[in-house]
Amino acid sequence: MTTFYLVAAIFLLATILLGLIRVLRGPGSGDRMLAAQLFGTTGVTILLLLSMTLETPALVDVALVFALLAVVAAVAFVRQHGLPEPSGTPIHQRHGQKKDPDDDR
Amino acid sequence: MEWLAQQLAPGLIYPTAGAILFALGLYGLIRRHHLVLRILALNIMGSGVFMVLLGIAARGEGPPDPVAQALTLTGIVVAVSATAFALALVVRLTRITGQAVMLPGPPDDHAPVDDISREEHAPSAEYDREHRE
Amino acid sequence: MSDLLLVVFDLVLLVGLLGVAWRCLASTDLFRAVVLFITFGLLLALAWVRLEAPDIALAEAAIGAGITGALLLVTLERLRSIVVERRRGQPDEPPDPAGADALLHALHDPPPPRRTFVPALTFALVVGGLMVTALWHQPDAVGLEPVVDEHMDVSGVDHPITAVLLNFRAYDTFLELAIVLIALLGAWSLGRYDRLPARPAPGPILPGTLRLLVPVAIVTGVYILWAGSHAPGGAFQAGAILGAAGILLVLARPRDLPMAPSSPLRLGLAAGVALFLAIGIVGLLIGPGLLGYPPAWAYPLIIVIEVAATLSIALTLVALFIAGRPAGDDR
Repeated sequence: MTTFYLVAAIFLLATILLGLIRVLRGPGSGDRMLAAQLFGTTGVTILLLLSMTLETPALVDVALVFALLAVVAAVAFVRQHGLPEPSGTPIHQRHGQKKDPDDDR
Repeated sequence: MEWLAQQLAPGLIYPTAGAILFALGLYGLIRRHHLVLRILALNIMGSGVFMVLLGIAARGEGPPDPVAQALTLTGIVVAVSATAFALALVVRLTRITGQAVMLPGPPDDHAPVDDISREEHAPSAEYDREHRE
Repeated sequence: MSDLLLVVFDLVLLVGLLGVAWRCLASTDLFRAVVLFITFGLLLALAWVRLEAPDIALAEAAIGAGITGALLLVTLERLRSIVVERRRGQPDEPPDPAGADALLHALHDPPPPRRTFVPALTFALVVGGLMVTALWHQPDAVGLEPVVDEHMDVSGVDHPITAVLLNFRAYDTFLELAIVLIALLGAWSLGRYDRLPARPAPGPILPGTLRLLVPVAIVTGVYILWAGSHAPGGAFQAGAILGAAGILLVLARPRDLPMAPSSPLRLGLAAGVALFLAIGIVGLLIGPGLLGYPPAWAYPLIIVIEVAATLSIALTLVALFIAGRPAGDDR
């Protein structure tokens, strides 16, 4: 059974390396980011398989943290590449400066 | 087969890969100009160092050396805070000069500076005159 | 058989790591470099697992996969919006000294000039070659594992790494907390924070996800902190996870960040260092030395320090992500 788990882990690792083609070629930012997110899912699976193979139950915690926090980068990406900016919004504004210039002093 | 598996033990190949990562990061640090890329290069160098440390700690029989692992843990947290600070500096530099690269030579005094701290804290011309005498 | 398969796994992993690092540093497109760096962090966590370091893998999973990626992506967007704003050109401002190519340079780095190729390659090869040679000829040593093992019963905890971090080598941890705080002070000294560049959420999925995820992340962080006394986990990992949860909250409402009240925020940021130092000085006065604890009190003291350190690390990471002092706070 250990052998099977290991072969599966190596196979998943190889799929990550194959998926790198999408990151390298693109063409869009979305393609690259989505590929990286899929690596996160694959990584969780590899961690669980390794936890069975190496008999280290603590790796389940690592997989849990991975599954939870891989989303942070995705959220940051969606925030910036999601919808086009509504017209008239200042993209970049020093906080409060434009609204109330006297706030500084 | 057994011999090969022994030769390629994690305690040997991981430190080697760590050294290569360090050299790779160094190469990128020297050649690339954009400061974000340089910060990435520094991080890759740091990861190489961590890999050397942990690889040596995992050598031999028995459980790995906990002191090396604790040091690496400390190092990772320091690295992420230093990275965040460095990125804040890059954003600041880009706001002042318009470019996220190290400019050769001293900064151009005539370049527009939208630096509120300098405007606010610079002594006025009168103050300057009074104190020069 | 399974030994050989593990070797194959190691080799594939290391080839992937080196390849990803190489392509990341060779990218002309910065966004691609950042995505490759996120992938690099993921593969690195797998490498730490293979080196029997689940604690490091936990920290790498929280920091490499979560915090650094979001930080880099937000920085790129900040750089882009700065350059866009400069290019738009207010009429009363002198022309941009960065020239017309500035927008191109914001998120692209042209290939490096050819003349740096040979010196850089030589230097890197020499340094790398020296390191590899030294590592291959290094004699095997037992390390400090037996020493730590011998003193585990006076450390107050059951997990060797927590014992090293918070008891045997408390100096490292104390100074590390101080460095994290100093990094934040450095970022704050650059001025007040800029609005995070952010676009409206497309549809209800993002707010819903965050509402579900943040509580789970907080529970996980507290669990990892609690686990630290007997299993992989502890203050750094828990702080990183809670910090990532805080970053999720910041990303949820980037336009109108709730202003943290100034004094409790500063108190929380300094809590780890301050409490650590206070307990260390008490240790100096009553006997065991600076940053030493009486063995009977070791466990409760370590727990107290860990809770404070977790709080400080989490708050500091969120504050570093926002980068800049809170508004209305500098008078």
